[in-house]
Amino acid sequence: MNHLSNDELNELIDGRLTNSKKEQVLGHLQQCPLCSSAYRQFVIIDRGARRQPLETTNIMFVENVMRKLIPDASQKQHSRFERILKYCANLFALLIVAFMAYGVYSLGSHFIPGAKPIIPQIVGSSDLSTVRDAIGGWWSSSSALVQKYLTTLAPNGRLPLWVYGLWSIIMIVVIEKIAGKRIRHVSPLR
Amino acid sequence: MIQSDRELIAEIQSGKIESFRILVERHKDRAFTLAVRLLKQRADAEEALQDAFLRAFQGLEDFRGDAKFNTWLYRILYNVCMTRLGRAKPEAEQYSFQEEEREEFTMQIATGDSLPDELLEQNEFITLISREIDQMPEHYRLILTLYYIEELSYEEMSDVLQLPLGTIKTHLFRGRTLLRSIVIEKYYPEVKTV
Repeated sequence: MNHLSNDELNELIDGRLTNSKKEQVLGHLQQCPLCSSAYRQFVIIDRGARRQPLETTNIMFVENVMRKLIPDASQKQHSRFERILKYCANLFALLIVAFMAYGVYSLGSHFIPGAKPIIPQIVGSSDLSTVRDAIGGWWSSSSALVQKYLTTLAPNGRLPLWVYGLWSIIMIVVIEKIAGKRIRHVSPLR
Repeated sequence: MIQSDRELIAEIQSGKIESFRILVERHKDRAFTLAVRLLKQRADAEEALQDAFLRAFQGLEDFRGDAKFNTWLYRILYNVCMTRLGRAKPEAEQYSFQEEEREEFTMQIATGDSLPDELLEQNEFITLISREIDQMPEHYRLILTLYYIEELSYEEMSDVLQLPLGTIKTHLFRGRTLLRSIVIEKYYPEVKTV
């Protein structure tokens, strides 16, 4: 008598035999104690293997996964705080740019023949020019080259408005890049 | 009412991200068992699983539902684990049987009694099966875990491991036969196989 092969027994266990083949195999099992015994061994171990316990994850696992997908409340608060900080930094940058622009303009007007300093005009006194020169003195040498171009650019002592605008934008972008923190989180579904 | 994976995925795709929590809850333990079986270290397995879930989430936008979510997740997890193990995905050739191995798997027919049904009531029996699977060569360990723990069909295992159906079947049968031999020889020598 030919015994059943391992493949036949396995396919019988997995229910993958055709009906005719299954009848043939079952018929053989009824007549052959050896194959029947082997089949029983397979079945018992197969059922045991199906009852294996599952490993369980850390209790915080789901939370950890979800936290990476959705920023939690504290993160959201932190982001709002960061945004306020960023706006303040931008405002501060704008002020700095305005002061610097004004400083260059004033200094430019000092070097440009015929141009009038604007601060004394505002406060009604020319004494401020001394203070301005004292403050501006430390950078006057390094800005001499700049002044040369400014003179060309602003023959009447006034820079065109677009220069101030462009300068402000450049400064804001630079400060934004350096000081502004971008809020990063995993974007839902990218 | 319990929502199906497909329904949950549709919700996530429409922006209800919280539905992903249910998917994670539903599949984490089975997937974790697979990761532990592959990586052996629980901490590594947990990191790999977290990585796999995040990748699955990011890929859900393109998920068309051709495969079941768990099959798709296991494929991602399997790739993550292989990367962590520092090797490329095993190729089909690596699974091929060596000639000397082949002899082990010739037909073995029990000459004595079979294993008693009562064994299934004993936790020790289940534990020893689990332990023995854990100690088997990787390709058998993997196939037997996907089949018994993850309850995948031959076709789904083929999809996860990117191996031909015939190879899957061969490994499953040989893995199962090896398991039977080991369990009987080690623990129930009175039930002999020849």
